[in-house]
Amino acid sequence: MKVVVALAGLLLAAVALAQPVTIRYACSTGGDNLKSLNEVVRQFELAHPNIHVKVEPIVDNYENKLLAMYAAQVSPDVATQNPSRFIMFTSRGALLPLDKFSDLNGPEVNLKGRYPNTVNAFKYEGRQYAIPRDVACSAYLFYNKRLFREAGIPYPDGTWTWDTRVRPELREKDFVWVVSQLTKRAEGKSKPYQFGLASAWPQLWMETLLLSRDVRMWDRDDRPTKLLLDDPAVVETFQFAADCLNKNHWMPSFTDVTLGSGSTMQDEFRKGHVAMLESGAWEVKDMRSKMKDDWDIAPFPTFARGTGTALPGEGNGLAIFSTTKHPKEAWEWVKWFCGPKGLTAMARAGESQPSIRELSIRPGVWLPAADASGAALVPANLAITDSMAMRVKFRQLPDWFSGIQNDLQNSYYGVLSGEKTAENVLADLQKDEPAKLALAIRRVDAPPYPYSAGLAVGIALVLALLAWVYAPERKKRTSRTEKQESRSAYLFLIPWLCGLAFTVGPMVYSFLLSFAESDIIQTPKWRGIGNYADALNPRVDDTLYISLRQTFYFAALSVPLGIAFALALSLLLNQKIRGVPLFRALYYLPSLASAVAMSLIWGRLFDKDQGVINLILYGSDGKSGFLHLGPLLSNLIGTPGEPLNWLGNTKTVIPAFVIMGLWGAGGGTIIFLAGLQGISQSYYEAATIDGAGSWRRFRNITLPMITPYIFFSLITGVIGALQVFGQSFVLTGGGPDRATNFMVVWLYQKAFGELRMGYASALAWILFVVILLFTLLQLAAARKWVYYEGELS
Amino acid sequence: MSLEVANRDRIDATARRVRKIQSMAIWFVLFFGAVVFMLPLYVMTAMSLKSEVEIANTSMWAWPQHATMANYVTVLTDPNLNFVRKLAKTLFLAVVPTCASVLTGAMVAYPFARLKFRGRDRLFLILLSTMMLPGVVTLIPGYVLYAKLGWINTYKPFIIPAFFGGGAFGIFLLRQFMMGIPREIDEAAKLDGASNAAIFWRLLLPNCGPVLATLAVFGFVGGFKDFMGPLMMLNDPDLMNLEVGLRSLQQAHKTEFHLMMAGSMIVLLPIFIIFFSCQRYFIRGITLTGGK
Repeated sequence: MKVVVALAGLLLAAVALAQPVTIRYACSTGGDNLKSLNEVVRQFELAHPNIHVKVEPIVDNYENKLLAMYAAQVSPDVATQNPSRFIMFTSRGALLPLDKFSDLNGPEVNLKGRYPNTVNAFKYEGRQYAIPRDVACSAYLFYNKRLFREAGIPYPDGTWTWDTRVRPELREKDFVWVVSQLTKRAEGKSKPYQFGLASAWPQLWMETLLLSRDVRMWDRDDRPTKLLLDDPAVVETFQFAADCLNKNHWMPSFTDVTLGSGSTMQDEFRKGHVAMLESGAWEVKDMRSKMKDDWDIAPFPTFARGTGTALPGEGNGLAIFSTTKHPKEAWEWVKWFCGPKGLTAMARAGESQPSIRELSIRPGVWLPAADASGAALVPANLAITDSMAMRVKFRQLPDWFSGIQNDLQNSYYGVLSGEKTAENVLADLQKDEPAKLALAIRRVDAPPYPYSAGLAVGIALVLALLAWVYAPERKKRTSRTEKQESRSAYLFLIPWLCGLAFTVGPMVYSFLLSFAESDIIQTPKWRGIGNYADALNPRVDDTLYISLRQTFYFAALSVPLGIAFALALSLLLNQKIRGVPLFRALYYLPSLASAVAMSLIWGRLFDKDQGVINLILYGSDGKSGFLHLGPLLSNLIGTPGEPLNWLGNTKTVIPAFVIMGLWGAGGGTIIFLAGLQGISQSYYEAATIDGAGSWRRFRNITLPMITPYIFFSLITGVIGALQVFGQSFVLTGGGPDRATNFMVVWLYQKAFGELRMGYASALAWILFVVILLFTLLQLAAARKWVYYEGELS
Repeated sequence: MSLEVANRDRIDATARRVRKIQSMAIWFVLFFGAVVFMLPLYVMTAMSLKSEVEIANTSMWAWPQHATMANYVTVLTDPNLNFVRKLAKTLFLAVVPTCASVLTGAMVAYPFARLKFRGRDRLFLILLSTMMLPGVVTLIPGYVLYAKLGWINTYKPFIIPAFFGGGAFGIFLLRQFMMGIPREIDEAAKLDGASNAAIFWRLLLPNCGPVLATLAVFGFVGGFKDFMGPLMMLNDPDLMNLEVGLRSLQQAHKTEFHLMMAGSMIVLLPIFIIFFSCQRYFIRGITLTGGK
């Protein structure tokens, strides 16, 4: 008997062992890279039949989503981490310290053979939390060899330097001189047809200059206590960065290219409009396949008056979540993917430079080997990626600093767009930011949240609501049949009452949360009315007022226009004309299409040079156009002689959003059509007999009869417009210069970008009060103009 | 006498001609409006038929020189995107919650439209005010709640709340529509001894066709196109719907326009068909007035 039990036990154990352990691996990889990754996974599973790796790519807001997953206790076992942001996880205890594994310092992991700056970047409080996988310097200069030859400038050998002025005496050893020489203008024009330089995105340009000059905007990285924005070196660097774009026109403006025309700096470079492009090594693969001219890469110059060599970069590594149930298996996957086999496969796919130095410099892995004909693939100079990887500098900043860091980064836009001088922008920042920093530090040290008091308030709120509902009926006597009817009514209401619990509960919770500083992971801290006070105090944060102003502006334009447009359309679509059903469907179609795809298309329709809007306004020659409307508008907006840059200009971006919104008028049209069809024909017949013309019939019958529908559209329209989110989220990301930083966009950014759930809740309640006020106002005004048929008094 | 008849005929003829010209004019206005409205979709279609290289090198207005269905094939067969499976999941996420919310919505609307009960007026006010509540207020705590219930990364946050009446907007429309149905019907049934449940199920519900169709289409379209919901509540790529799947074609450093547009076109097709075939009921289903 015992033997049988033992055998059965053994059998069970064997089955359990044979069952592979599943490791969930979260990454921000997408597209083609995913294919290479899946191949690596396949190889790994072949070598480790007892482990199954499930890849979970996260598309948007990688870190925040991951953190939210951790809060929801559904975190993956292994996740890709970024050296400048993994502190978000370690500081919350989300990651497993890797020194738990005895072979961390062994030859297999080979920490010593990896680029030391990336290895150290993944240390927190002296312990290793992630194994670096790849490293990528973002500050390579891709250059067009043909344009260098045409300008008679030798190809860069990497010994050049930069300064904030042109030094013609140094010729090609001066980067700025090279840039200025490569900028070509037609006679008498200020805007060049060929730019000397472009940078892939605005922050990259500014941060490259700041880092390479070793200019600091705050004192310590681990706990910033002081901002150094009035440092003359900061002012000078900011101004130089902006002058390259606006004063000297050496570089194309970011708003013109990326926001204005849906193109990218990469495309401009490949078209030969730009001689040099600053971007990362991940560009190499695309360049190989798409660039027609011959090209190569060169290192970014060092600063002439300094000794620093640091450059901005990206990189990632693999970390294990502390919640994993299978640390051993997870560790196997980390070692494999960050080891020679995983690295080689990914590097061969073309986009990631291995963190193991020996692999990085071996031809045929990251560097291309000579092909069959013996010729090396472009770029010839790819070997510099080794020395450049050593120059990459990562910063670990505490995440409570991210709000201030965002403000600093947002200020780049104002400077680079040329709207303000560097001095003004920095002076403004220096005025506001130190107070914010002090506040942030104070928030970190706030007392814990009083749970029981909070719970008591929550219960009291729910009881008060119940009391309010039943107060008027307390003394009423009810008959037996009434009681019966009441009982059966409540049976019908059960689903909704359950749902109400799901609404009221979170509302109460959000109300209580609005008095806290909470990331919903760590113990919340008590802020009292601090969140509301901060939001409402323009000296701490003026975003609320800007954001409210822009939201109101949007609502004031879009709601009346949208309603008028939908009403007019519904009047047309209510005629008895051939093909009306098809027309109705066609007008409704744009509001059915995928919102993401439509936003991308709209980005192109508002294109500064190619878009249809500007084509109508300015004509094909860019000057005349329909009724000369374009030049008139340009003068009005303050950019005479330039086509409007719809999405890139703070003055036109909201009208552009409103125009986009009109394409969604199909939904409103349906509501109005319903209203129109509800009007009895007898009214019209009577009016026609009385001799009323079509305008009078519209004015005196249609309009009054349809007021309830207008009213409904108005209420829902205002509520919707005050919560506008999608277009800004997909198209402009709150920019330019906070012009589309609508309330919900800002709130979302605070909640999921900075994980300040308490503050975001306070913002949500402020928005709720605003919406409530508007709705009550409209309800009060409605008595004056809304007509309900059959309603007495 | 004959003169009078001739006169009337002439007037009628003129009136007819005027009407004809009028409707021609309206037709042309509608036609040109529709052309303008179709512009984004034209660009979408054109891009979906171009290769990646052609998109980069030609104007977006140009009709593809070498129109190709390759993008559609890629989208439908790419194992990473897994279109067909995602389509099935998307349909599930659109159909099941829609059915649940339309049915329970009608159930909840019935007492508000027809029965007297304690606290009715104030409960109805609460119902209306939840319509005014910005979704963002409950976004964060909603996530926390679902996390605590262990619903994250499952379909529960989409399915279970749909059984709670499916939102104030639908309940409101249903109530308005039910109020427009003559009361005599259910009063007669009541005299015959029918229960409220029987009245609701046998008499009211069958008469609510248009509004049920309207809400079903709204619900289906909303569920089919939902982006934020799956983005927040789901992590597992095998559970994601199409809209999020398409977004994954738009990456940090480049957007695969050709594939994205082809995918969007495929997604648009079923929604368009449903709308086109249901629109007759649709407009009749929306009543905001009457029956006070």
